[in-house]
Parts: sequence; C-alpha cells; structure tokens
Amino acid sequence: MRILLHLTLAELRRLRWWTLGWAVLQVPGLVMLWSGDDTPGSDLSYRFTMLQAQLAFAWAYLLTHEVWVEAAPLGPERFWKPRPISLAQLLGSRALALLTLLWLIPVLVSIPFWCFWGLTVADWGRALLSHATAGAGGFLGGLAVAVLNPWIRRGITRYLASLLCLACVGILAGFFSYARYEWAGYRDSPFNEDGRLSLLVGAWALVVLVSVGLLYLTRKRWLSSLVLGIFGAGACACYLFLPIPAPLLTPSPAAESALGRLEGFQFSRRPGEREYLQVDAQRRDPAGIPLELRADQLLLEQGELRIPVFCYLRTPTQKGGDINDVPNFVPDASALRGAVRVAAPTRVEGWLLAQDPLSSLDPAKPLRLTGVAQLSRYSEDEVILIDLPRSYEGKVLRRQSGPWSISVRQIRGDLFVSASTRPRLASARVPATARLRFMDCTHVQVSRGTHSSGSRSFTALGVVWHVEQVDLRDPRCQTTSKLTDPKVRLRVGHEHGVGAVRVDAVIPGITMLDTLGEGSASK
Amino acid sequence: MNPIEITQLSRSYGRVDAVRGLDLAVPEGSICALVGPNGAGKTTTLRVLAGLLDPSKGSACILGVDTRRLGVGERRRIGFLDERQQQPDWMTVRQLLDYCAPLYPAWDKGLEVELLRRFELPGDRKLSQLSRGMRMKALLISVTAFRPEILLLDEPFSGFDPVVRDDVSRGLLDVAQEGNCTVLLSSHDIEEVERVADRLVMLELGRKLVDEETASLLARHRRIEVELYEEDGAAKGTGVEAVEGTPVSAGPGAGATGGGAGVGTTGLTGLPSAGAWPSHWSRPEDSGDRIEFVDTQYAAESCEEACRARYPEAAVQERPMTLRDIYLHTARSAALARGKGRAS
Repeated sequence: MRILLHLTLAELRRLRWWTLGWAVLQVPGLVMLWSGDDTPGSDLSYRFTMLQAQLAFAWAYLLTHEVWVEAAPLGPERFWKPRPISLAQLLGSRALALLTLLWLIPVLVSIPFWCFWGLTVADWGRALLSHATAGAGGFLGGLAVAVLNPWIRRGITRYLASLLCLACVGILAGFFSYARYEWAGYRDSPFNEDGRLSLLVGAWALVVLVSVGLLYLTRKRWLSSLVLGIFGAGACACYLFLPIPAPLLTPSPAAESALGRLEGFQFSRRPGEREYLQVDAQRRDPAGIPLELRADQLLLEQGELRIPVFCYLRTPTQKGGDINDVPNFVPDASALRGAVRVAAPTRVEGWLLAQDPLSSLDPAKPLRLTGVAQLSRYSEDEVILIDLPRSYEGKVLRRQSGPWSISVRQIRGDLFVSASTRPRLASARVPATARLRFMDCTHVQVSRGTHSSGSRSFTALGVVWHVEQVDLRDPRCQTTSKLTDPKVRLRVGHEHGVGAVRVDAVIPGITMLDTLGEGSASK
Repeated sequence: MNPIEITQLSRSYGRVDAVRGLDLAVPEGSICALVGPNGAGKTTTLRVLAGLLDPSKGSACILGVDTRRLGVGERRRIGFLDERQQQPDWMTVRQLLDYCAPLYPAWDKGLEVELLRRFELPGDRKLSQLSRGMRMKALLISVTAFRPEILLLDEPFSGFDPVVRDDVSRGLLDVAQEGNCTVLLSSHDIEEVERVADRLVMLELGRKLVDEETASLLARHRRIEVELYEEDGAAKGTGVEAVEGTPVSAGPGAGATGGGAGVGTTGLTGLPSAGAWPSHWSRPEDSGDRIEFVDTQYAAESCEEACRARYPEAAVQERPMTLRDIYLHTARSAALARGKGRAS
C-alpha cells in the first residue's frame, strides 16, 4: 500500500500542471451555477453546464491519454519493468491517480460550493455520481483511443487538444462577454447573441488549422506556436477593447408593423441623436391579445433615462407558441434629477435597473414614479395584470456603491418597490446563498409556503435545482419578524429544500421586496 | 549455485535469431563482460536476464529464479541499467533517487550521498537537462544505491568521454567490490572492460565464441614474431603465401569454440611440414623477413621450442596482447572461418 501511494503521488507530481489546470477549470462552472444569470434553466446556464461537461470529458480523455499512452505501462523499455514494481501496483497507482484527477479534484473544488448551497446527502450522492460519470466517460474514451493505431491516436488527440483550447477560449470569452455586458447595464448577458464571440471562436478554429498546417509543413513547433500566440493575444485584445453595442436600436419594419396593428397602442417616432419609439398604451387592447411589454434596461442618453422595451406579442391562435419578438422598443422614459417618469401601459410590472441615474439622485428629494414599463409573465399560461396608480411618491434609497435595481409591483392594492444593490439577486433565481445588506430596514417579512405561482427547474451536477416563486397573495405564506440584524442570510435551496422563502424588507418610506427562491432564512 | 545461469537460451524476434543456444554461468562476485559486434545478442541476453523479455527456448535463471517468474522480491536484489530504458525525465536527480529509494528496502542513503558527491551530480537538475554522461551517472546511482546482488548493465560506457568512462567504471568497481555484487555488463569499450571485468564472454550472431576469465585470456594469447635471417645476417624471405587464418581454438574453460580445422593450411614454404603448424598458432602474417602470428595457447617454453624447431636460425619474440587485440583477433578469425565455411 505504501508503494502504491508512493507511485500515485509521483504520478500526480508528474501531472501537477494538468492537475492545477483541471482544478482551475472546475471553478467557472461552479461560479456560473452560483451567480449566473437570473433565470434558472436558461440558455446561458445550460450552455455553460454543457460546456463544462464537454470540457470535463476532453480533459479526462487527455489525462487518460497522458497516463496510459504517453507513459504506457506495457513494453520492455518502460521504466518500471526492471524495478521492483508489480504490474498490479503500477496499474493500481495509475488508476488511483486517474481517480484523484478525474473525480477527487473536481469534488474537492466543489465541496465548498456544495456546503454553501446546503445540498442534502442525496444531492451529494448525485453530484458525486455526476462527476464520476463525466470522468468515466473521458477515461473510457481515452482508453478506447489508446488501443488504436498510433497515427489515428495522435490525430484524435491533437483534435481534442485543439478542441480543449477552443473550449477554454470560449469559456473565458463567455465570461468576459458576460461581465462586460453586465457592467454596461444589460440585465441578461447577450452572450448567446454576441456575434463577435462566434467570430472569435470560428477564427480561432481557423488559426488552429493554420497552425497545424504550418507544423506539418515546416516541422517548426515554435512557428505554429508563435502564430497561435499572436492571434490569441490579438483576438483577446480586440474582443476586450471593442465597444459594446448600445442596446437601443430602432425597431425593424416588421416589428413596427406588427405593433401598429394593435389597437390601443400608438407609436410615434421622435427625432434625436438616436431614434426610438414611444409607447402610449393607455388603453387596453380590445381584442384581448396577450401582450407583454418588458423594460430590460435603463440607459442614460443625452441626459434622459430611457427604457428599452422588449415587446412580446402572442395571438390567441399562437398561445404558448410563436412569439413575435420586437426588440429594442423604446418608450418614453425621462427625467433624471428628482424623478423618474415612465409612460407605461396599464398592465405592467417591472424592473427598473439603474446604475448612474440613481447615483445622481438626491436622497432628500422624493422619487416619483408614474408607472412601470414592464409587464411580466409568471408562467407560460398566465399573465399577471397589475394596475398601477397614476403616481407614487417615495424617498429615494440612500446611495450605495455598485449597481442598483428598483422593482415596482402592485399587489393587492399596495405598491411594492424593491431595491437591491445586486440586481441579479432580486429575481427568483440561483441555487445559492445570497447575502444581502438591507439598509434602513425596520423589519423583514419572511414568507414560507408551498403555494407557488410558478416554478422552474434545471439540472446541474446531477442535482435538479428547483426554484419556486411564492405568491405573496396567499396569506398562508406570510409571517413577519422583527429585523434586528441588518444582515439577512438567505439560503436558497433546491429540490429537497425546506420550502420557499420570500423576504420583504420594509424600509421607511419605501418597501424592499426580494424574492430569492426557496430555502431557509435566518437572520 | 551461480547467481546467473543461462542454459541453451534462444531468443528470436520474428525470424531473426538474436541469441542461439547460449550457455552461460557467472560466478558470484565476478564482473563478467559480454562483448561482441552489433547484433551479437548482448542486449537481448541482458534483457532476458532482467525479465524484460522471455526466452524463446532454453532458460535463464537469476538468483536461482527463472527470469519468467521474477517477482518484486528478486527485483529488489537486481539492478538493471540500460540507457535506452525509459526514464522519468521530468524528475530531477534528487527526485529520481527519492522515487526509487522506497522501492528498495536495502537502499543505502549513505552510498547514495557518496556517489552523488563522487559523480558531482547536480541534484536539482532534471534528467532531461543532463548530459548523457551525467544522466548515465544518475541512473547508475539509482541502480547501485541499494547494493544489488546482481547488476546488469547494458553499454554503460558507450559514447562517453574518458573522464565519464573512468568515473563510471570506478564507481562500478567500488560498488561491486564493496557489496560482493555479481555484475554482467555488455560493452563495446574493450579498454574499460579490460579494466573492470574479470571475466569475458564474446558473442557473435547470438553464439558464444569465448567465455573465459580475463586474466587467463590475456595470459594465453601472445603475438609471436619470428625474424628470419640469411646466413650472412641478411633477412631471408619466408615464402609465406596465401596465408589464411586458422579458426580460433578455445582456451581452457571455453564452452564453445569457433570450430573448424585449418591446421596445416598455412602455405608457409620452407617449413618442415604444413601439417606441423600448431592449431593454436593462428592468422600468420608474412612481412617478408618476418612471420607474425597469434598463439592462442601461449606457454613460453613450448612456444619457444616449437618456433626453434621450425626456424632454427630465426629470432623469436613474443608480445603480450591487449584485450582489444584479442577481441579483434578472435572476431576476425571467426569471420574468416565463417566465410570459409560458406565458401566450402
């Protein structure tokens, strides 16, 4: 056993850089899962989960290749052969090394996250199995390739190595893209729509091909490495420093036409440096066509606060089906100093995300809201309609560093304005522990219950993450407790959690409402 | 029982016979050298002994165990060094030794330190960054620091400068002498072999030509020069024509010989009789007034007498041969005999 461990440690030492890279690669996926986009099961989460799974497979394959092919145990010229090492000890050490690399390292990296998320024993088992499955897949793949003809083996390995590089570039670029767009004020990262990323990935694949061609023709590794390095650095620099396109765009003629057919809505084009549409949706559509207007961003442009609205139209015959997306539809939203004025349809609920605008507001002056430019849909079949009063006045939150979010809702006749320093946490999302600091809170209202108006689930690490949205209209869910500690720790749960939690923090003059998903809450 | 015993060992690679019916016994504590041209079967023999290859026929036993059944216990007592053997080049010298040490319960840390110091090896340098000589020294430490009972070395001196060769051979001698280690090495470097080996086995085409103690081999080989003079003191032609070498006769203890006769085919004119040319006088060369040949069973008195009987007026001189000379003489004689055999 002592010899076995000795050999295993030596093997791990040999593969130490692989191990380190492998461990580092585990982190982005976990971080994404923890603090990813607002919508569980969204395309972004799915993509990253899949990307990480593919990366795990490729890495496991390469590790297996490294352990079994490059340092193959068979053959008279192998180091171990004349040494007092039995074949069983050698194979055992290799297997132990692979188990450590492919399974134990990811698990060790994940454990802090799992503890933080409060996974149950069953979930731990599933997550462990999930890691084992990914590792075993790569291991078996590597083993299968190891028995192939050396030329084929080399070709497949080079291909997979290139793919791995590509995946690494993709995942890094994705993170950059995500961060940049979020920093620029986007609520959802347009990672999927970032054409430049696709271009980068495609160009990278092309350069890998060129590099391999150069290597083949010139037999000069430094030359192909140089080409790869120069392109990689240049591409990253270009990608990082290219300006992000503004989310405000004029609607396409098709979208405009589609909107124009709706009764009760009038659209006008206002000249300016940047064209936008103004929505006047004072009257309800008599045809009863489900309509969603959603304000995703606030942008400051020429001294005006503007809200680009994404308009989703659904006809009765297309219920739950085809949605005509009319993006970047800008209603009138103005007034920076002292008040925010939003012309809005009657049936709205929404988020107003702001960064600079709020920081420039004077806390001493009242915040005047005349409407909210978002009508949100809680589920596929249900549209919650909320009538807003004509205006609402309240105090402005004290300024804090970082981005702010304000959410305005009207529930049972009361208007709730939610605010958070972390906009992403303000939505029902993430299997994570959120730590919020409520400023000027008097008490926190915690709601528990099983009644939910909508739920979503997604799978990651073999665990089905289940996020419920609790309907505060259900009086059975409501409890109230005095907040003595301004730091409220919320643990968002998952499928086996203790139930949904909703935290309402009441602030003098303004009510803060945050839905963080299910789990337990403590002060 | 000898620690290394080979009986009728044959090993083939496909249709190529690398070793053919080799018999070999290496006594305990001796340093035995396998020499021979490329393709003679030296490396194959060593690899069979190390358990890296299985014999095709016959058997090879080391420490009383058939090499096909060598276990961890036996391997802990055997050191095998082959430059072509895969090494963990990513390790530093120190890491290599630390890696090897736990594998051998008898690892002598003191000896390791001593050898490191003697070889002046940088412990923190990777094997891949070492010169060939330094790398060989590092590997030599890794196979000798546990004081093996058997040391199998494949070409330990090849391609190194004299200083490295001297270092390696000195270290080898010290280890062998201190630990009563039985060493079997293969080499093309006959000078170093002469220096370290007390037994020599010559192989050719997988067969054994010579198997004898080095001292005995050196003692029984002499180059004889016969100077022929006219009565007036001028040199006299010997009339040696179309001289062909005789096959080598084996010395005492030889297990196999080059075989073949050839006695009396010298073609020396003026000699009493071609048939009287002793079989152990081989490869005579005529340079006009002088006849040179190698006596493979040299004994001073009998050689003198035999020469006087044939050349009463001649001056006879004997010169000792180096192992290199003996090796070359034996190899060429064998090649000639082989050519002659094919011609006939």
